[in-house]
Amino acid sequence: MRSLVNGMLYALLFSPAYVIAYSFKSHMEGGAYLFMVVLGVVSNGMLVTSANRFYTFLVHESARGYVDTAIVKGLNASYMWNVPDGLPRRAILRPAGASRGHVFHHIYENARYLYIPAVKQQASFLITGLVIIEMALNIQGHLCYELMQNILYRDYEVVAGIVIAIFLVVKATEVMVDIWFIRESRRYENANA
Amino acid sequence: MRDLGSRQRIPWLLVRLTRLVTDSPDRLWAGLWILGIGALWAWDAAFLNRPAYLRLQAAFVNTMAGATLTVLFTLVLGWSAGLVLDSLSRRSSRIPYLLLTFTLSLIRSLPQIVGILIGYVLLTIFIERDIVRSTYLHLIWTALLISVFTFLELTDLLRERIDQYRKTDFFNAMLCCGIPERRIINVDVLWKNSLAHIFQKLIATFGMAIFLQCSIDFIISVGLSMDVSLSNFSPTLGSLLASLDSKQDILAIGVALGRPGYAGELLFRHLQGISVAFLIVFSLVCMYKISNGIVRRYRL
Repeated sequence: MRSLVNGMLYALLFSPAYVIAYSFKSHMEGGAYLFMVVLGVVSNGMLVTSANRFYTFLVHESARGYVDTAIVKGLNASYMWNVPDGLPRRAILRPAGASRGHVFHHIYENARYLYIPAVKQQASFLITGLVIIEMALNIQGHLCYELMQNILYRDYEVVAGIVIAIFLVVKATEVMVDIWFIRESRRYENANA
Repeated sequence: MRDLGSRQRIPWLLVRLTRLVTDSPDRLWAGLWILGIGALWAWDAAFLNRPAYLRLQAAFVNTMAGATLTVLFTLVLGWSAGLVLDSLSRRSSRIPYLLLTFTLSLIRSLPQIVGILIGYVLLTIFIERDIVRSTYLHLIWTALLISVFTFLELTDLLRERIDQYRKTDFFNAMLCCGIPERRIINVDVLWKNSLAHIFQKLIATFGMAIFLQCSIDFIISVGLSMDVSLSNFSPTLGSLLASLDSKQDILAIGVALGRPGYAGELLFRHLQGISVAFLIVFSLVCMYKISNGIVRRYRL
């Protein structure tokens, strides 16, 4: 049963938006905006693949020497839920706050720091997902649908304007992530000083 | 005696095979992917009508060929850019390095699908002016376009690996032994010590290429085919999914959710659309799992 649910969840996460949309189309009339947001979050397999990079960082960090040292020094290291030396379930929602005293806290903090620059890519992936949803499902009244219409009618001035607008949104996100990363880096530098 | 020996060998072989698959999740998922596609192929051969079966087969082969081409282009572009950036970053003049970094940064900030759409507009212009005639050229063109947006991750990875090894003693020791730097980077750092990292990245690229190619072909087939007839293009899973038959078949999933008794019909009456959707989703899940498995096996 568990495998079946897992399989269905994976199928949902990795289904392109248009596959899910056409499966449910008869039940979703009139709620296009909400539907689009839900699809953007749920069905963006590419975003999941990119977010998976965080998992790579966690695995990489957990193999480093300081983890063994921390375990030898007596930090909790069990990954069972709600046992004395394990992790509380609320660590799913608050990984850093709820895992204090556990070796995972340090693994998470270090992996999070390494992952911050990768957040820049997420903006690009998220917009790619939204463009696909709007264009593939012909959801009207949004920027990407306008982009498609203007490509169709060869109005390249409007196309260029929309592309530049999208580019600027991604660039602004990148600048904000860079500021965040620099601030985090300074925090670590101060802690070491 | 010979019979007894072969009998003993069969369980041993089974144990080895089982261990080979269960010890590494990436191999397990690669095996599952092949098995799943094989099972679908056999099922479709039995129950799907002949023209649709042939179309599906062609679409699958074309999509996989496109994704493989994307991986190849990504490898070539990523490797070259990594080496060029590494070389430029250590020159006294910073201008070429800054110019290249700026160009790559521009590509990075453009969402993949927007860039690929612009590339498609160029392709339609080439077709209208009769510059492009081959039906398979759109696959190569799409692969090249997708790789322009995926090679940057590989470049970043290669540069990280080179920088990491440059700090170690072995790099300097090899230089002192008179081994050319180009050989140290290409052979010792990247080939001998980063192959698992590169392989994992390329598998993730393969999955992303399937997703992007299907999405762009779906969009093109649905809404951007006014002047250029897309029937001349080789079919892909995305364009096949956009056909009316497949859309009706996918819509039947919604019907089956409301009427569970109808679910059995999906595997017989709505096989084309269900098969296309299954091939896309199953391939994406398997690529994700294989990529994860490699990370765990090699502790990357």
